[in-house]
Amino acid sequence: MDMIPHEKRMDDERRERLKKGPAEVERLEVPPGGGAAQTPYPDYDVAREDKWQLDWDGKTREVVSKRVREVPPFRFFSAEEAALLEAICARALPQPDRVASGSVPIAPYIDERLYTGGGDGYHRPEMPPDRLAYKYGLVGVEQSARTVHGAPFGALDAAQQDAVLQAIADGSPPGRVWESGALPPKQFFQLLMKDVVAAYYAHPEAWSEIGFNGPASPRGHVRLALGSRDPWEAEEKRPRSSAELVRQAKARR
Amino acid sequence: MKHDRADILIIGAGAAGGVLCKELAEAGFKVVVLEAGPHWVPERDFISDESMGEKLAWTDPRVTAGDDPIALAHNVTGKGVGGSTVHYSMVALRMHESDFMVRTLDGVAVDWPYRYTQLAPYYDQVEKELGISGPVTWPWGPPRKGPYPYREHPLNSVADLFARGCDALDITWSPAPLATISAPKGDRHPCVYRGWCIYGCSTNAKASTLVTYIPKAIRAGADIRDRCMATRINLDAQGRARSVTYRRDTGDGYFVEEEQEAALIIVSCYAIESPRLLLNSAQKGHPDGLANSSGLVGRGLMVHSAHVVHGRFPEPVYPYKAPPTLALTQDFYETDPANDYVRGFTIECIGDYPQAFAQNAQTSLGLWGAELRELMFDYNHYAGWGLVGECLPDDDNTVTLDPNVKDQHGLPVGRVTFAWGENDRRLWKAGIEKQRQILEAAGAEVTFAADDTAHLLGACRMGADPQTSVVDQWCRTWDVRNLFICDGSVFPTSAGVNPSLTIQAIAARTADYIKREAKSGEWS
Repeated sequence: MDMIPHEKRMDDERRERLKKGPAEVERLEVPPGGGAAQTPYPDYDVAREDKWQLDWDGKTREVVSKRVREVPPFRFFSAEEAALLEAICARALPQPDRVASGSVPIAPYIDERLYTGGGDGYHRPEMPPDRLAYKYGLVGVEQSARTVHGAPFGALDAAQQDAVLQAIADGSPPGRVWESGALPPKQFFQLLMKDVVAAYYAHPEAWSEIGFNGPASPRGHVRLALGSRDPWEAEEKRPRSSAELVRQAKARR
Repeated sequence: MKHDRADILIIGAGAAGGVLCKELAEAGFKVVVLEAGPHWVPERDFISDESMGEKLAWTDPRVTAGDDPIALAHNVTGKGVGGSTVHYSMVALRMHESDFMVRTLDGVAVDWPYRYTQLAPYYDQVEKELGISGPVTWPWGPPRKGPYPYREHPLNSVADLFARGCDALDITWSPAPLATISAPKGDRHPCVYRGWCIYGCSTNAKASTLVTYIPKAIRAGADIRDRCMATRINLDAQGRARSVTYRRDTGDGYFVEEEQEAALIIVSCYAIESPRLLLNSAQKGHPDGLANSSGLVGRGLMVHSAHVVHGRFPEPVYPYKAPPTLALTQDFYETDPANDYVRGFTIECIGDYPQAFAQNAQTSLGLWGAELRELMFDYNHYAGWGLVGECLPDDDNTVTLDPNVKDQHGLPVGRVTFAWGENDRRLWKAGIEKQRQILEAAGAEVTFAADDTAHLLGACRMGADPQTSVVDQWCRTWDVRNLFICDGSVFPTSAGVNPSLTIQAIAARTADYIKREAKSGEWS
């Protein structure tokens, strides 16, 4: 059968890709265990040589390498706002164990999302659009810090910073922004944490530290059953349980 | 720009639009399909990355309101050829006989305008076309006429735990029937169990309409126009649907307005965009929106309660492998007089990826900071099941035009308003309790539940009476007889199963009707 134009276009694209082979992207160097001191997977590397060859297809290599190697500059937030957001992210998902290797960046990806207008598009009627929510939210954090501790957020110690953020999470922070109703604090905190989590767990170091298999195309998986593990999956070396942590969190709520 | 008149114009190339365009193009009609999103090439566009999954969803502005606002975007919608079938979890369940007659049996909501037996041949047809992989025997619902086209998939670790828990409690479980192939079909390779299913299948095992129905439609001559956003349906002087105005994305930041005439127009944009397009098409003779003389366009929106319960197990689970739902139970599906609610639910295995799991733990346990990172070190030890719980229709759950927010085309966006009813709450509370029991029976040391919803149904209800429904049993609008609405929005009730297979069976039935009526000259 002759190919119709649509099929021909698709076929040409495939042929082109095959000719080029997998994208020539230099393998990402991820520290074992993602460089995390407490990881149960201290020798696991999500981008180690065999995985890079068999689990990371060309397009995935391109996208994730760009994400890691080209950390976006701050374009949406001012320098002062960016510094404050950095300080907030450092408590929202702390990485004190990464002093030597440097932290996984979080705030730059939030800036990028807001700058490019990305995101899931929908919002509640009582919530301002994401860009405004962040502008208000940062003012609100600073107001809370000054009201309770008499100093800017950046000048507080970790416990004081955590107390400021917890009050926002709980929905009762002091500060004019919050008290005016311009920004519902609980919803802002959830928005913030959603972005923080999305940025952090999009990074190969985070995948390595939690033993996530990461990219899986084209090789896929062979050993699926409980108690089995493909040799290219993470092997737990230092088990630690979150059972007690979850019990405590449930008791608090 | 105006194109040559088509026989049939379909708006939306998703679950229903895909079926319609293939069946109608193969019957010899000149078919044009308008799709707001891009025409994906799986090998190029679907990659192993959670963050990139968002591009498969409808992320144009929308407002979510009401006492229990629902999550939109990737959770419930798609944008692009294949619609949400490119990122659905592929669970291919049929509705039960009782689902078609809940007014008769349970005294709630409304009956469907037909019975299971009227839809059964179309379920058969769609299952064969998609190549559903399923078990040899199926324990629940109407007896099957024959086996599933393909053998069932092996269980993964989460499904093993589910089976262990169900066995301990004497609950029947079964491998799930899935719309992903377990053996080669045509030029499609069987599933390689890579996971990542809900971020797009890069190996074409998943039977999205993108790789099943749509290629056949194109081969039969259908014209699939991607990146074309329908903005308005136009009537002629006699009040018949004449054309659709749409905006084509040129790819370099511009939109070009074009118009397509057709003898027959089908709206298949799912339960937010279908009512929105009708409401945005108000015109002479239809002041409150097209086909809305009943006042029901946008009313009766339903979701499924999709609460997830996670459990921590002593052994590593590695929950990310293979399709997420490889086992399920429908032991709690039918109305039981012992319950304080009517109707029921399906419980299905799930496999959350790190971003989704962390976000779930954040919102449901309130964890953040060092504690959240600590929990995530233990990610591989968690397994979970999700609910697909029936939600009764309520005309106060709506899709309306937002008075303030407009999209990039300058049109009012959809505003979704939702609140659970009393029966819904009781039902999902019972579901969560059952999920927890199965987790504990399987050996979970601790569990936690997360709120969630799935799917969108209703808002352009099908029925037998023009006063109380928007379309008839063939998905033909009562008010404009050459205008059809065919997608999840026509469901009168939600049932307790993933809806895609039923949406596709309804579309196959509508295609048959259109072909039949054409013989009598109805559309000329």
